[in-house]
Amino acid sequence: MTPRESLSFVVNGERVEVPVASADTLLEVLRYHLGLTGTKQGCDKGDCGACTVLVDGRPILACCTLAREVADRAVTTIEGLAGSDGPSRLQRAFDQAGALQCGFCQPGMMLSASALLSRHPRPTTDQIKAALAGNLCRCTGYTKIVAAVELAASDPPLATSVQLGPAADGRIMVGAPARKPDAIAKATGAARYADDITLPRMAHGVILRSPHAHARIVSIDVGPALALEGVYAAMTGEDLAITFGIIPWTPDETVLARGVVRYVGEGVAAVAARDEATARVAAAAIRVEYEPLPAVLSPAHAMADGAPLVHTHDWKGRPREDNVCKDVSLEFGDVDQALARAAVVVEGEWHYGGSTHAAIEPHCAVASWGPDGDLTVHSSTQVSHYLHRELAKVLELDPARVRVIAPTVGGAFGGKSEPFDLEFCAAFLARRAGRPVKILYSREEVFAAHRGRHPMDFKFSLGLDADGRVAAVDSDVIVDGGAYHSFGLVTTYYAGQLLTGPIGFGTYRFRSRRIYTNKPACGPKRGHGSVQPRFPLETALDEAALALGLDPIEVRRRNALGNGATTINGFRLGSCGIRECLDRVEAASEWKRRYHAMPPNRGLGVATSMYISGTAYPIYPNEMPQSGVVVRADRSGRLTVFSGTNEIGQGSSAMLAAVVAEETGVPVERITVVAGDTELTPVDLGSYSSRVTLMAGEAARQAGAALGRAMTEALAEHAGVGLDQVTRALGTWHAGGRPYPTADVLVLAETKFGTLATTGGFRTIRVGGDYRGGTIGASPAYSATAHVAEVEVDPDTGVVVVAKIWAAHDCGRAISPIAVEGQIEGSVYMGFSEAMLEGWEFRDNGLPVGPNLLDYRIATILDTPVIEAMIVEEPDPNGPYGAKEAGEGPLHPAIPAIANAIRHACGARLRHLPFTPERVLAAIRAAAANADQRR
Amino acid sequence: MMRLPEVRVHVPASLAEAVALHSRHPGALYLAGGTDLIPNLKHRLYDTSDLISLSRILPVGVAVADGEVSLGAGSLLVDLIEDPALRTHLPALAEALALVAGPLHRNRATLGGNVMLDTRCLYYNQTPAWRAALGHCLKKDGDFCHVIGSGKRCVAARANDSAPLLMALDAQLDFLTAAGPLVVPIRRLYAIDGRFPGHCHTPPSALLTGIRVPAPRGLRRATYRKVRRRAAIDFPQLGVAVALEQDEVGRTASLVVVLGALMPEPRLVKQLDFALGRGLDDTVIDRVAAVAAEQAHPQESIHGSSDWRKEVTAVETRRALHSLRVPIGR
Ligand SMILES: Cc1cc2nc3c(=O)[nH]c(=O)nc-3n(C[C@H](O)[C@H](O)[C@H](O)COP(=O)(O)OP(=O)(O)OC[C@H]3O[C@@H](n4cnc5c(N)ncnc54)[C@H](O)[C@@H]3O)c2cc1C
Ligand code: SF4
Ligand code: FES
Ligand code: FES
Repeated sequence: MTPRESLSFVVNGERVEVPVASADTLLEVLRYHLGLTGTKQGCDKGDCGACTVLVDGRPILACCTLAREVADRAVTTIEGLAGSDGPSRLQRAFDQAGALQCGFCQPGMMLSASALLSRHPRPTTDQIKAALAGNLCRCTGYTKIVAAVELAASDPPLATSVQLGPAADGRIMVGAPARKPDAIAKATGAARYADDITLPRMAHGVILRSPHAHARIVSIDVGPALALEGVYAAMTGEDLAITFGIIPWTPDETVLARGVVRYVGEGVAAVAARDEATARVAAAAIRVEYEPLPAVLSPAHAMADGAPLVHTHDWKGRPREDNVCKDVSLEFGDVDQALARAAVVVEGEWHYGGSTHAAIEPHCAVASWGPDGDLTVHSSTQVSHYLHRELAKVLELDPARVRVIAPTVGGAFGGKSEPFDLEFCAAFLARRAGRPVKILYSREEVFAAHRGRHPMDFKFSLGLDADGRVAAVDSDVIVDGGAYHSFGLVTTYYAGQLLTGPIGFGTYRFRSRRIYTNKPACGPKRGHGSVQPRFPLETALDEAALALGLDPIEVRRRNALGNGATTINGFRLGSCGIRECLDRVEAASEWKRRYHAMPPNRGLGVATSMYISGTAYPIYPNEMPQSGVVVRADRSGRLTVFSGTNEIGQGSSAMLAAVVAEETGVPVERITVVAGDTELTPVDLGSYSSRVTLMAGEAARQAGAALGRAMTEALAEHAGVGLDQVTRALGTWHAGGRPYPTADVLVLAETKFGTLATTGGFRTIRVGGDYRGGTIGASPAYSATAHVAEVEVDPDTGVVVVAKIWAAHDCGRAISPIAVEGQIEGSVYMGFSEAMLEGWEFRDNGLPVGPNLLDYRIATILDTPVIEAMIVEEPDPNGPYGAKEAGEGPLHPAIPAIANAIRHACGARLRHLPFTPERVLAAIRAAAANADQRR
Repeated sequence: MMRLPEVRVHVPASLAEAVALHSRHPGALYLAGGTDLIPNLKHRLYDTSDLISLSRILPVGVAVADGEVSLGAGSLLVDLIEDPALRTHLPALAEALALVAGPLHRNRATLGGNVMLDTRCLYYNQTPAWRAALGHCLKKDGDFCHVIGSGKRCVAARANDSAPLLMALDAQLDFLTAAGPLVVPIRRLYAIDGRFPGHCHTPPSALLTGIRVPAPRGLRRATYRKVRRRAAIDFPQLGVAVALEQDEVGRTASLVVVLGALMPEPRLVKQLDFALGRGLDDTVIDRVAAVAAEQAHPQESIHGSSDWRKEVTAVETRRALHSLRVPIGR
């Protein structure tokens, strides 16, 4: 083992002596030797800021600092920011302002902010942004982070209650601005993420990955790895041969490659060893002989005659003939005729470049086996339930002996919504090694796991009639799928099906083909499948409006669907607040006054979208509830809410607590939410497709209401009054003019009814179109969004600055307005960032250009526009209290709104994402050449 | 996580001891702030087993004397950016350093480390697995450059933000080497081949201790413009430094333009004599900009297409000159 020397330094005011090796970084020593796991790791090489700590009061990157360099210095970690009297003002301000979503970036963020405040107690907004420019956040759009620092730097005392303002519409909790019950744990570094878990005798696993985009595996020899000291176990694809896939109809994956590797980064073997360093050495010692095969890296190549096949056979062993993994065609009305009659037709080709989620927390799983042969897997997953099922299937276990627990998850955005190799490998290696095994992806492995936004190529036509109505839309989509199906079957439909609102179509046809290529599999990224087609639709709509001399907002108003409308493909919009969304962004951006009076090279652009609130039908067909909730009471007046949802930073646990508080009057402070643990919680399908507020929220409403009824009856009987004489408020109920604390009411209810536990479940509502595929894209309710973006274009360089985005989003009913704003802001940020900065690009041999957070650029606080989030509430009959989704819809319009604003600023029409300066400059020139020609 | 390779870290008590240690461990690398060295080591870019820590022995601070601004090589960028003397005498340098990386890097990064920074390349600053998958390149373990498609030389980018401006200002660098002190004008430091070591024309044992910049006199002013995709963290895709001296009536007495981040060696733009002795009017500015772009040969070793960076070279040179010039006949 490596020699160690004693290192002495001061951590959070306490002098410590730790044995360290020369090569230990400060980050490793803090996290793994001293147990100060509040300091996070997101890239391990200086790109993200998650590992920020203070050394002698200055924020620095612990991953780029040798532990030896801090000898005798004073180090402050997030754990040291709180005082003896509890969390600091700064920590509480982050909580109160709603700045904490997944929380993973926040320890670093807060340490940077605390250093700023000690030098500048009253910083300006610019100073705040400058100080936080090295700390990347993928959740918040930075808006509430700036607000939190401003709040910390101000005088008014901070709130001590959870609830920060009144509820809406005579309710007691729903609609009230509130803190999140789990936020302070994140603010103090106490929240435990998967990599913060250490189990006794735990080993570390590493997966060896393919250097080839396409190759036959001739042989694998794990012998040299096993021969090394400290290596406990190894495995290959042959050890777990059962295929799986998140969509039960398309199980085309195995845990590790068997026979053939299909993308650079695909796992081929795995080892477990006493520590990660040993495991890495061991993985490198595995001998794999490959026979390289020709690879297909673009759909065009993959669809060419005689192109190599990514899969020569499907999962049932049937030979495949081409690389098309799904082909969908649907037509509603006579599109050709409508196009022929249209007053104006805009057509052409659009290309939507892919992008990846880049949650700051890398995936991590810890697996352990109990003495009875029971498997427990802690994983940073969005879908505990599906993981539970697939683990049992692939490892051939009785599902009753498998437990999946999602600890605090550090951001996901769809990137953690299916099983990944690390979960299976950790479980398998743990069994073989006879010890718990942890596998933590490196940042590069996160890029290989991907499942991000599909690149799509469109041949797209839009026809408007003379008064600006959308007469026809014709869209031919080629979807670049990568090497496996993932959610691809759904994506292929979504690329067409979800485009039909909030702008109504007279006729519509789409053909969507998803193509296998030798690249990491694409999947669901925030706004799954439906962000891409918005880009051609909403930019073409602008061009068509221009041709007709119509105002861009007006043309959208003319086509807007309203409450109760049915889309051309048969989806019923219970509510659709798009008109109000348009009104709000029009007013807030002063569109009417400014649109025709913009200074040179400045422009405004508008765009709209709608999105599902969950998919109507479960991924695997069954008639059971899609979300279940159990509420139980104990005699202290505390409630526990059990739900299989995954808290990934979006605030699902806070939402569940708020709903139960609404129904029972028990304050959120006295409600514990237990989530995402398959052994403790009833099944919920997980946190994806924006389903949680509508479905789990409804389940919680039912369970809460059942308890509330029991409480009402018990109190009415006790007080000798009618049921209608009982009223509830937070913390206290009233009956016959007397107050009863909720704890007492619960005792009365338990006395009358026995042990208190109630349940609720959201069951499938039959909706959708009456044709094959008509249920895909069908949802109980649809959100609506409008954005206006303001940009400034540098006509000499093509550099675009997005100055501001106004986003109005109809979420039906905001159960927690602060959380909804946070979702809008984070969505706008993510859309902006992929429009302007992010490029999912590959070298000729199938290597991603730069699978790290420096080459793959996600926006910093300084790049991010000012975001003004506006909540519109058009309650939907299918949602609890009318609530619909807010987590994904608000991303969509950002991209076309920016493109439209660039067009408005300088005439450049962008049909290729991202909008790099090179592309913008070329488009400016093309526009100028066009104008010359016309002259 | 990416474990560092097994290295010994030496902590010398003096600069002389540091250089002596280097003689004993010839492959050793000096460690200053580590903000570049540590990630590069994690990527296994250097086959070294010894690091010599400089953080506690390097000279720090700013001194102004005898027409010269002297900067300790160990000065942290964060301190220089705010240093009153530097802000008074060389504001352009303070501003350029404020554009380096992000605030968290600048709190540990040193000026010496920035001057001596390794060159960068999209094919080089990657993990060992990534580089192995592509096939190693000339700069590390291979014999072929993926950028120029041959094995002639390495065209990795000199992407340190201090270099163009310090070259424009004609800084002198003070080194300590095994053979004694050595002074190297920064204009002669950087090689045209980006391979490490050797990307600097100094012996590997050379330890940078100080940077001396002739203090500006009269109407001599300088500026640095950086082009990058994000407003923080990102390395430059292009850096343009201009030092300009004009007389009281606005005639140009001297003009230096240096282009960074295009090639291993920052480009000191030649053939600008036509601009001397006359006012810096728009026509002259446009010509200087065109000459600069003409001499720019951006390599696609870093982000941004070659054509675009060349074009923007003209734009940014023009903007730099506009920001500096004194109106004619003032
Ligand atoms: C994400 C990221 C973004 C970055 N962005 C930028 C950027 O925009 N612009 C930029 O210029 N840099 C950037 N850097 C690189 C780096 O942070 C800075 O260049 C910094 O100034 C390097 O200084 P250091 O003290 O940390 O050097 P170190 O990392 O300690 O050393 C760098 C090199 O210089 C040598 N060296 C250091 N000191 C001496 C000395 N006194 N004598 C001789 N040799 C020495 C080392 O051996 C090593 O080869 C970035 C780094 C990261 C991780
Ligand atoms: S420029 Fe060429 S030789 Fe140099 S690092 Fe890049 S690929 Fe390698
Ligand atoms: S983990 Fe240190 S900067 Fe990302
Ligand atoms: S809250 Fe910032 S990354 Fe999640």
